[in-house]
Amino acid sequence: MNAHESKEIILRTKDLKTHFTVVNPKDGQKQKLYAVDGVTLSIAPGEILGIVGESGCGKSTLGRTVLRLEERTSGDVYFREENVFEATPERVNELRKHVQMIFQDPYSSLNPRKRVSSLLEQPLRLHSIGDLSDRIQRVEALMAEVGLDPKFRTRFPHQFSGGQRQRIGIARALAVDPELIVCDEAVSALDVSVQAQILNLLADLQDRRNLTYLFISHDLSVVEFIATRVVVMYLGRIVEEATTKDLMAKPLHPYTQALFEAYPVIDPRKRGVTKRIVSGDVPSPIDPPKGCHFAPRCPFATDRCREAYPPTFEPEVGRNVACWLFGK
Amino acid sequence: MDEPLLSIQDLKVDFSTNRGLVRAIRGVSFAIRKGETLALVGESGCGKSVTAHSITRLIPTPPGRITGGKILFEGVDLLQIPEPKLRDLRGSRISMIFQEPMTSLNPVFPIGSQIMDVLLTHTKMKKVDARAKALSLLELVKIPAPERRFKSYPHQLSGGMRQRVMIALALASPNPGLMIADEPTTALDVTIQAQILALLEDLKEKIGMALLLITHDMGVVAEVADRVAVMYAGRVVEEGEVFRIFENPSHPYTRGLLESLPSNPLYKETKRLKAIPGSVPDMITLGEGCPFANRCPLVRPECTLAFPEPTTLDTDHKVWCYAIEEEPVL
Repeated sequence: MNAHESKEIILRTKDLKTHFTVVNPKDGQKQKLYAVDGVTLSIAPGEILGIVGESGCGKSTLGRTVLRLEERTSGDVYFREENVFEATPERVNELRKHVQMIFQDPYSSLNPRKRVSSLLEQPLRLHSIGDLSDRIQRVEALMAEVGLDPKFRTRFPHQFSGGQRQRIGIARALAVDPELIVCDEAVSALDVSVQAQILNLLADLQDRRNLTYLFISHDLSVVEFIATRVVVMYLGRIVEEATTKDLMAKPLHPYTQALFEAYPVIDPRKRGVTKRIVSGDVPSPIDPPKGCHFAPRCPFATDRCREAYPPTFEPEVGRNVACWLFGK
Repeated sequence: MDEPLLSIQDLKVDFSTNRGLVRAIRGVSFAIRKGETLALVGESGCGKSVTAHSITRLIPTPPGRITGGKILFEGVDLLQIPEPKLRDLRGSRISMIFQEPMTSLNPVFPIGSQIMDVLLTHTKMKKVDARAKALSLLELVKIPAPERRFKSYPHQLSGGMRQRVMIALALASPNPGLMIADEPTTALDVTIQAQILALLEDLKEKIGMALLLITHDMGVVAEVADRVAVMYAGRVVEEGEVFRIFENPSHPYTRGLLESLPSNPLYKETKRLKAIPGSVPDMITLGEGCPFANRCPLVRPECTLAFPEPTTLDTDHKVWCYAIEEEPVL
């Protein structure tokens, strides 16, 4: 049984599918791209759920679909048991007050012609929060909260460093006092020394405001630092789910194992220690392999793996793995 | 000790911008021996790529200008030789691969003929021999089904495959001496990065060429480097053998960089990462002192006045820091 079924749930998805139609440049034929292909997950309030995977695994599309920035193909998203896809446009707007997003590149997500004060005031105005003097006060408090000197409120985004711009992006997400924040590669564009500052800030904010994060990242060490639970995705589907501690101690799915082994170890004395490097490329989400999507690269694949996609097994309490190796 | 293959001495590079003169490289020196892998590591804007591009004189001029120093390759100063001679060297003894191979490959020619072009330009090979050699190079970089891939265009290949083609191109000369790899795996997924790093290691052993690896990723450094030069804001602040850098990081910046990594288990007790406070200085207004002074926990008055001379900690470990001298060196 999922450890969270009994507890309160802030957000859950049920067999969520987001497919895109793309046109093959060769023959003009329409093809389906299975970006998210049947994802079921749930997040408890105050939890940080990490979503890990390589490019094309669907982690960003999942984050965007949860916010209804993409339309689903089938399945559902529930915010506090309210079906997000059955909500009226007005209600969706209201829901966005509760669910916000932080993007990878704060430079392209901030209007370069607006001053910080107006960038941060805008979400408050759009959601009709407070009068002008309230809002000005809130903008200054927000800046201070994310570690920006309020005296810089009249500056433009380009006058800040990358790390400071991400602080603006975080302040903007916090402005409407959300409960859940989808962080999509929120620290990936930052240099390590600044990345550490922003990760600490996100952890502090989570503590202070009891926020819930859906934390999407390709970087395992970042997710290990911040997340309480981790979902590993491969070609649109969840292949493994566990608490961060369990997953790091013992990855079960062969893909998770391959991913873990591929990460460079920060210790030159451990280099090349019988590293098993998975061969081949990630197949295209346009034409995913029949059966388990990882089977063509998997050292343990059998005929069964190549024929049918595995169901989710629970080899240990609280651990879910979509792999035939764990089927009885 | 052997004569180094490449020796950079007091290199200085400026860029003129609308806002003023950026002194991007402020006196950088390091050397690479034959067959060795030197990682030039640092964060964005530290000048690691500018340094690499200076070696092959690929700095766009203007706005860039190499204002001082020497770059000796097998004893010849690359900054002094005429352009045609340099062009010969670039194709034969020194090669470069970049982060995004798509921008370095010609999109309208099949990859096989692009490799053949290099061979036909830099050797006296006949066409049929060049074709055979190009095929064997694709095999060498482990491209599956090389005969079929020979006729593929760059856009038909995945990112990892394109980077393999770039490496094949770099190896197309009869006698490669130095490969400069500028963030070669940064755009790749981690499972593909592992494949490319393993390939580079394997090829270095087979061919015996030296590798100058430009990277921001300390993990990649730990995986492949023999020696490391750490750059910060236009200066090398620490240089040494890879084990010394990771086991006895001595410049406060190197230490900070290693401690701030989320893969460093330091945070497990405090629950917070050990971040370096502040951000990199503005290269236009930055003065003559140590560029790390405004973020350094060990800063002292002299740090802001002049950049320190190097202190040798060990036979192959140097650090440019005033705070080092007073610590006993064992």
